[in-house]
Amino acid sequence: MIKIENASFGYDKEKKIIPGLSLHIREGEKVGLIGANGTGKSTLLKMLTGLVGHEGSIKVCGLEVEKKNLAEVRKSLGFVLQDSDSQLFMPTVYDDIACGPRNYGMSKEEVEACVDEALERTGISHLKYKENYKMSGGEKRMACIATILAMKPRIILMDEPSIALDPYNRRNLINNLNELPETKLIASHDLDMILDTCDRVILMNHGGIYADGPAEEILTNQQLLEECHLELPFCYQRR
Amino acid sequence: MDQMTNAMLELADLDALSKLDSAVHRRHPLVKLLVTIAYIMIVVSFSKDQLSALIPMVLYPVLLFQLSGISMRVCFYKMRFILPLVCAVGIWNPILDRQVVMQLGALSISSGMISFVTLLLKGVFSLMASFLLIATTNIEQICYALSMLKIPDVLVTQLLITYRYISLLLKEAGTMMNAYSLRAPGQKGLHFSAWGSFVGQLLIRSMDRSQNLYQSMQMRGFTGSFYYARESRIQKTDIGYLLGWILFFLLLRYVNLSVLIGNLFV
Repeated sequence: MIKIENASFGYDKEKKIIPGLSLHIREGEKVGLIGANGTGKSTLLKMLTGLVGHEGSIKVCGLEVEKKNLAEVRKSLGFVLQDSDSQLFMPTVYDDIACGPRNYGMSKEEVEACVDEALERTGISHLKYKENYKMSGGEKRMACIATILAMKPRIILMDEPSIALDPYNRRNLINNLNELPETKLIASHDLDMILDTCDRVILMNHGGIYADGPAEEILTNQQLLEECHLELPFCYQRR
Repeated sequence: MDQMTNAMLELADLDALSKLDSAVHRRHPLVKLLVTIAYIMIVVSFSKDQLSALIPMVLYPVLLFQLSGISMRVCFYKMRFILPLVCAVGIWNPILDRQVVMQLGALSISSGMISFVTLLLKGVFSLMASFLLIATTNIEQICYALSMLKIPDVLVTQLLITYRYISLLLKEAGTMMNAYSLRAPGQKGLHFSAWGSFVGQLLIRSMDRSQNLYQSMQMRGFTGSFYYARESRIQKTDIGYLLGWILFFLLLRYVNLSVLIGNLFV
């Protein structure tokens, strides 16, 4: 699904944010991307979507991430940004969800069906015609996920999806994520959420992969996490 | 409530007005836009001494306020910041042009006074018509009408995005203002020494946000143009509305209604 070979990125040629990274994610995998601030998690997600350029090779669904393939690549990727306000740019939830399908030339009936399905999958059908600015943080987050589900992506990328959510909305988000069968790559500092939603964890440090393995194994390894300025998830700290 | 929140609520009020249902609200956005443009063009075409001929042009906004169910008071309240500027346009005319053209009892009316009032009315009428357009047509419909007029997508999209993100910009400014006032107890407003960094920071934040927004648009297949509003066909009543008003404006432009009415009583 995603194949990265020696990909690198940096605003400064001398000092790369991601100096050279290789990674392979298979179909249906639920992968958590963790690491301290500034280790390149968000940058890696942006490299995958072609929002920032890169050197080396990145393939998404068999397509090389390069200018001529960007439209196709982005069609297969759904990217939920960290800030919901930046993601929702239309006046109502309906218009926002319909925006992607419309841009990809779907018919009126198809758009309508996509919107309804996305709303149903995220459990926010009751918010269909609600104005974006009138929604709470949790509602906005679910609407953001609905906007990308409507495009029927094969891979879902998320940047800090649980940030600024209250416990109820966070749990709601986790339940929803667990119901999505698509391949997922979730960058987050919320290790408990990663533990609840991902099978595999990639631990990043200084723009590279420090550890890669089953979620349980990595998230219970206190020494490994502390070497990367992280801590055990709260659920393990209490034990 | 802070000023930024107030400003945001006022914007939301305008959005709410545009969602009302009335004969005017139901008209096609392109027709409303064209009528407004025609009205403003005809209003500004009156010369500075055609005060009596200009006055009947007030009929259009007055009628529209009645038909749309929007209060005129709301209009003047929303325009409270811009109205003084309109007044300032011809403020020097009464002083510079003192040639007496009319005598009303003991009061001498100078040509400068007439041109001042004419300019003032032209400004007020144009503002009222613009207000009526945005109060009866939401921004998506206006953008849809503009795109029907073949205005370049890049301009229409900018208008749409700017309007949509004014509230976010105000929110950012409000947050920064709150952070500032918490560390400047007893101080009223923003000290001038902080203006530069405040504006600079706001610009940086806006750029950051606009970049995120653009990335989100790119990820959803944005190629330079938006789907603005549900496509709607121009009905016969819309054409009637357009032609009716334009004929009415032309009539008022070439026939001095005030003089005609005045002649009835003389």
